[in-house]
Amino acid sequence: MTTEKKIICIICPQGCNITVKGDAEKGIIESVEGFTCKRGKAYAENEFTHPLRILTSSVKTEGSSFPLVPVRTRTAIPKELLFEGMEEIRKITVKGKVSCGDVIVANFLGTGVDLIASGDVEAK
Amino acid sequence: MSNKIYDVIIVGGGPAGLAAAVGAKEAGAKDVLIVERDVTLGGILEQCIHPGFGLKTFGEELTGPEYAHRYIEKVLALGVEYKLETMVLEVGKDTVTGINSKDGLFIAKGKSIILAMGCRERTRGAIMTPGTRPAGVYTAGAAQRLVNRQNMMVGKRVVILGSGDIGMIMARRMTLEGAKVLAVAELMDYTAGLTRNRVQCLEDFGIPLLLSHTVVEIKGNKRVEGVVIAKVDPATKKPIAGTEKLYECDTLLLSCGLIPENELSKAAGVKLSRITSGPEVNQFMQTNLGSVFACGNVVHVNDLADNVSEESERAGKYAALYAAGKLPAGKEIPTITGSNVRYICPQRINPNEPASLFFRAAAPQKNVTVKVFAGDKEIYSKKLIKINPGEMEKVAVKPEDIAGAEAVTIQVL
Amino acid sequence: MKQADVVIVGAGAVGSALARELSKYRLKVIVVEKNEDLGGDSSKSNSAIIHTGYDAKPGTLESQLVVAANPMYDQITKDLDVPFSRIGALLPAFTDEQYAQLPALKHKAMLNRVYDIEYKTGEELLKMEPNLNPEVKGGLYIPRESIIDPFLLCIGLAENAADNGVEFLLGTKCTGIKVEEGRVTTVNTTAGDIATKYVINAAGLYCDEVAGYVGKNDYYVTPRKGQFYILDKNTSCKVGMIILPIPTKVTKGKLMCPTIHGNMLVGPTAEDLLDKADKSTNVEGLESIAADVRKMIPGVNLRDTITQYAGLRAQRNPEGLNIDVYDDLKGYVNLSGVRSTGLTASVSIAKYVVDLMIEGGLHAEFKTDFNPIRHGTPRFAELSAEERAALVAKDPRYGNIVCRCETVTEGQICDAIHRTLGARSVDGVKRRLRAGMGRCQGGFCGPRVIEILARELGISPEEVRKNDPGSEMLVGEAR
Repeated sequence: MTTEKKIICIICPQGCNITVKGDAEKGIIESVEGFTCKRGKAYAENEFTHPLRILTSSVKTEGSSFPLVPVRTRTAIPKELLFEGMEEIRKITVKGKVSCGDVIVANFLGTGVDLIASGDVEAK
Repeated sequence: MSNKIYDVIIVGGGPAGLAAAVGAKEAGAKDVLIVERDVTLGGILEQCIHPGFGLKTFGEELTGPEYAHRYIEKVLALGVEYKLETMVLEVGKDTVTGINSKDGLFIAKGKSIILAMGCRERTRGAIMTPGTRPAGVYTAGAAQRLVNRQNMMVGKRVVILGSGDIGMIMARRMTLEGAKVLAVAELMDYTAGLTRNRVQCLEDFGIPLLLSHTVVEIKGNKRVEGVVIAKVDPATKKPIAGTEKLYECDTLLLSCGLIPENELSKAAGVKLSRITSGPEVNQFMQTNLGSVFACGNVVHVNDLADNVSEESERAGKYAALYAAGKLPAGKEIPTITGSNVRYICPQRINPNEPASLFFRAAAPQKNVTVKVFAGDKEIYSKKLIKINPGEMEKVAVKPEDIAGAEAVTIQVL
Repeated sequence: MKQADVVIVGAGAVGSALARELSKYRLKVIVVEKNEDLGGDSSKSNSAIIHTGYDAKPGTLESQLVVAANPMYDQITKDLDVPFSRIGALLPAFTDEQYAQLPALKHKAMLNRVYDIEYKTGEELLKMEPNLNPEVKGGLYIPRESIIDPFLLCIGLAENAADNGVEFLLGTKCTGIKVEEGRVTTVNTTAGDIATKYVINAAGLYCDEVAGYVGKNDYYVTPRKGQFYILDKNTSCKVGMIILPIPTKVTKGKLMCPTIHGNMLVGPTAEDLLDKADKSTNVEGLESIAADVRKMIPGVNLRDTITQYAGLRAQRNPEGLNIDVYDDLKGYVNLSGVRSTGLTASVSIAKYVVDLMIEGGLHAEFKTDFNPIRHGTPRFAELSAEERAALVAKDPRYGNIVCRCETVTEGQICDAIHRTLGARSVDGVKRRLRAGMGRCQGGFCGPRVIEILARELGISPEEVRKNDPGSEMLVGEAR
């Protein structure tokens, strides 16, 4: 079924109003209007068929200079997995030194995307 | 403390201070010192664990700590000195007086000083929210620090007053961390923060955004038990009687604006703008004190760290040139705010040098034309689909365009 | 069962002053306070003025005690290390009607034996306070009206009392008083019974309830709310003295004055309530302050406010400061009608009551080892560079500034927590040291103060409270 969706682009602060037409379930896009850059067009297409978000949070540490170390999914994961992702993140404890970019969980939730550290903590 | 004279001393090691240090070093400054009050460099970025940083600067989407990390690595590689857990007590034209546990009280001497202290949040007292004074009322930034850095949860049922970026980002954070965010109330009839934050922080999670609403009473004697939210008349901003509704919650987060942190600047004799509450600067980010420069949120509250970095690298570069006695001098002309322009930074420019003018609209407006005039002469015109006070705009002016003009004016028509 | 010679109910200014006065004698004294911290209810939120009593009702006990108390403060604040300043007050008249009232006000001061009050011309007043409404016609100058840190006064009195042997039971409510054969024998509290020969009711706002335990509640207390603004130290329009309005028949009116720490204080309202726990502020009250004070100081900039608060004065019905002992109830002393002048009068009330008790048969021997001196926590913000450097050299924690607005160090916070009757809560730290009282209102230092309190008290962060139980700052760990 062809539908039309108005999407506000979140790629940059400009917040363009983009209209996408197509069949979301079948992944068919008929037209995209209102974007001002390529990234915006790609975002709107994705948002129409399969919205993705980067999940950021923090995990507990043990024997580290801070009680938490921030983490993120390296790239965006399906939006509907955010809360499931948080459940997983709550179970994790890392130890000692963690460096920005370290893989905390590979293939997070089977998405093919790694959960990585997005900050540093030193060993205490 | 040795008798070393630094080329540049930077007060604050957040996004502005870090970029200023990079700018100074890359412009040839030999000895650069950052004085930072927190336990790490990075400032507020360290608690901004959400994405959205670096698109302009690095062409990819980073979180706050990652963005800081890149600058910290540069700063370290460039051999910038820094002192952590150090509070600056006083700034002079060529001195910075600080204190920490290791050195005690010290005075550092510098040929130039860069103010990069950032800003602070408006508080409940400043916005005069009536009611009781229980535990559970936090500024969004304080709550962000507690949750993201100190592993402390501030509440379970949350109302947020103000739609500043930190407020909306905390609405998402609290939701992801397991709290229920009942509403975000905003006095104005538009969001104070970025559109993308409204979309991905509120709409993604179905958090109600109540425009033209405010908190008229805080209830609870010990811990917050609820807040009363009422509609306001968009014209007068006064609550409309009869529209009050009680939201039972244990926490109220405030995201009602940021104020440049200029106590040190003021005491040093830096001239402040009444509109931005930050130092008046020229395109070199130089204050009226000559040897004192300023950049980032201490000058005007930015919506993007990337803009802060750009502006601060510039401040660092020109502070280094000043220290070397090479900063261009000359008679300056003012920048003037025309219709629907709230402020322009810099407030004055040296017409012999190129300048980037950053400005904010006074109110949201659609289908506008931004025009720049040198004296009476139009030198720039650009159509925009919309303009929003939450998003800073920029135009560049060239010396040849403004030669001989008494002032440069920006109009949004 | 705990044994005492005297039990004091309430650790506000009056209870704390009584404790200190009694600690000069060889007596076992216990103070019972329902709140978790000192300072009671009214004593910690008021206009922070040490009055001269110039406007008291002549011939009353209140007049006698307030007038007598004022000169005591030079020595007491020196001994107890409490910030205090004799800045003086002005009573400017702006209308002919107000001007016509000045002779009567001056005469009242004479009757109250406040003889150092002076007439000033409008010109003189404007020279003294350039921000006064230029229409000022003249007024009165009351040189000994003074300002103090009211919380540190309570702390100073209580801490010194404790150092001289008085026991304080904080977070402990007096729930009853047992009388046998016309004599007080026991005080019941939430922390158990205390056998005692004497009990002093210094419960302020709640003194009618405590009097009810022994059937001496021939009066009742209603709270009279006073709302205030605190303005930033950097506010554009300041005054150097206490600027008082000419009172009307209805109210003493709203004043503006500096606080001892350099902020501006504007208020209070006077709203009669029923709920003794209602310390909320409201728009109507705050707006009425603005309207009234602008008549005296047109330039006052209330947009520079950093906080607003409300305090409750204990309004006795019928009115009047009463200190009662009873022939049919030996050992019971009832204090009632201690209202806005109570902070000032606390130290003279204490003297008066102890004398009354000794006259009435309390066996009290002077101690020879009473130490009147209290050394407060260093006030880092007020120290010279040399003094600061010396302090950091001695204890590096003084080099770590936690509250940047008021320049409060980790060293001070640790001292305030670990000293006699130390801070147990965020408000406790704030009231003792001003951490969180500045323009950012704890936005920066709040999270850090929670951490330090948890560490120093050996509790988890989620147990850290704003003040009383139920006011926990956090709900648990995020992970």
